[in-house]
Amino acid sequence: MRKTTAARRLTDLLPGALQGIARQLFSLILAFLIVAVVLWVSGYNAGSVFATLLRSFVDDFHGMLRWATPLILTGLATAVAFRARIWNIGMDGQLYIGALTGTVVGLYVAPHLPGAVGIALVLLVSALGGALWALPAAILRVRWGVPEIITTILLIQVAALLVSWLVLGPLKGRGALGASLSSDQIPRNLWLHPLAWHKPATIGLYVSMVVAVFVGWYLMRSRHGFEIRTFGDNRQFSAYAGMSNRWIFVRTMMTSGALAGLAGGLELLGSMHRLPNDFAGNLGFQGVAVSLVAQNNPFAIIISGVFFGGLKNGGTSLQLYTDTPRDVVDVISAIVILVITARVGYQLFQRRAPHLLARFGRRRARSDA
Amino acid sequence: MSLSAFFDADLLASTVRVAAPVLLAGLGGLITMRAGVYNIALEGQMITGCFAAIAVTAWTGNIYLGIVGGMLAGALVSALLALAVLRFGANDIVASIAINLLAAGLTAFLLHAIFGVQGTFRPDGMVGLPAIRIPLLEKVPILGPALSGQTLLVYVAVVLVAVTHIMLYRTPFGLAIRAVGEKPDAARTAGVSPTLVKAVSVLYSGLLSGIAGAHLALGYASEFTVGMTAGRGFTGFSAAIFGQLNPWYTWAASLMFGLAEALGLRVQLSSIALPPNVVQMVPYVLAIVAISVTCAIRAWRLGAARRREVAE
Repeated sequence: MRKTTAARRLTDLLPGALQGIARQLFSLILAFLIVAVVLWVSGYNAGSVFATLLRSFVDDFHGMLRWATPLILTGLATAVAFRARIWNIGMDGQLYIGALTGTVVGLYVAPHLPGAVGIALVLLVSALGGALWALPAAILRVRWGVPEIITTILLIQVAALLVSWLVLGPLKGRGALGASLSSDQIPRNLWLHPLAWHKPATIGLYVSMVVAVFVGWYLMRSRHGFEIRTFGDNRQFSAYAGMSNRWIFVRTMMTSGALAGLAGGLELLGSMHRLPNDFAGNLGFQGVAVSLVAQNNPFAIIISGVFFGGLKNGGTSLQLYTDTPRDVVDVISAIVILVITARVGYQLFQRRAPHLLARFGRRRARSDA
Repeated sequence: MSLSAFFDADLLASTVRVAAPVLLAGLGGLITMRAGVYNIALEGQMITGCFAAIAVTAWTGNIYLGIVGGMLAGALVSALLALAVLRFGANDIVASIAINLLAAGLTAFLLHAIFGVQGTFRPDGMVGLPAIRIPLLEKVPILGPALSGQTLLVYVAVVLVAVTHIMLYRTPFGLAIRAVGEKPDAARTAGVSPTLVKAVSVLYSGLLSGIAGAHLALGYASEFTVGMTAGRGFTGFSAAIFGQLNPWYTWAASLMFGLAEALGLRVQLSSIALPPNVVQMVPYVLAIVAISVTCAIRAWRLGAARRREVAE
């Protein structure tokens, strides 16, 4: 299909990798302009809100990295699933269950093990928990064609209620912790080491980054990755090429769930140190934004994860300093997703630009990305 | 507590009441799915409807204007979805996720921005929608309390089942919706604009989800709480699937989910020692089971050949 457009002509002037970045930055800027309008209409000073956000990026670097840790992982969970056009949007539920299974192991098994082994075991079990929580949706889909979109979403609610029940019942903490609706604290030797003395970011960040590099290799270079990409591009082709579509679906869904579960495990060991009743609002859905900005590229997800981590962390200082509710961060994530998935900026640009840029354009026949 | 005390007329009445938002969302979801749009933004449309209904009621002091506000807000959010998907070619699933996130964030944000509170807002002197007593129906044995004494929007929901049915099967527009969903090319050849039909059906779903939100906020809570829809939009979506995209079956499905929710409320108030969180899970698990059964039956009918491939 030939689709030569002015926007593409303009971006063609830039070297390959920069084109994608330019396009995403343009979308981000547009999204923030929309957010500025929303803020202005609701009577906030958009300038001071953005200034506070920006200042928190610089001042509270560790806070930014603390939130980047889970967001990179939920972003990766999104990327793996979306690359195969599998709509796993129950990452929040898988994250809860990951934290839950991690807590159980952290409280009852890991204390009897040496620290490092205990940590590794908790993280492994968290990932396993997340993968298992993604499994029913995958099986229902490949067995009977039940849409995974709706089952994964419904399983978020079930997971949240399951955690509540356990935290209020069997796992209820002793003393003040129980009163504040959370489990007992996991032993101190399982806590992840902070990157600096008394700072929120932990070595969990390195885990996230290593996993991102691994997922990058997995998606781009491994046989599974090839299958995922083929399956995502054309399911009939992958089937005719002799791949097992069912197995790809189940495996990819579980991989995605495992990444989300690992995010829950890192939240547990790095930040919360216990299983609270209500936590980590929307880390899964924000992961969608992280991944879309990075165009589902695992390496770019590290960067966009840090960016959204800064936003999420900045939400707290917003509430403190400018009395703007932190929910504005969800609004920003949502608008970023909308702008990027609708490629609004890109398309507005397309309609304006032909007259201006026609002569610079190099015509290229390329299939639509 | 005996079983007969558990299943009484009150339970039926509350079943009908709590089924209404699920039903309204389900009817909206059914129409959009018939038109070939995967609209899981019902949840976001509903919560926006809740917020707008309470906000307009607080400003004007008129609860009926609040209902209109809820409807319009739901429609506005759905218009945003229609714009993203139909004008800018966004993926309907990803755009719906964004809209749910946007609606959840924006309502919490505006709650603080406009009313200066966090979590829950209850306007001063707020009185919920009055119960409407229907003289003759009231006398019907057993079903009487369920049929009469509901609030306005419950009856509206039931009327909308019929309206949706007539629209879908008895009007040219309904034919257009079904044609666009099943064979868009054929519809286009017949001079029907798929974009227009899809846009109108998405707006219809927004309107209905907005009513659902208004019912939730004004009909029985009389307040706005962040996240108060608690997945009812998704349950409604499941009801539409379980109801095989038929308005009357969708009503039956939503009554089933409503019964599960009403039983849950009943258990929480009773002396039965069941953890409330576990009971609250029932509607969601039921929704998963229901759509699985629907899909399994369809897969079984389509036969083994079709089942072997992972369908689109």
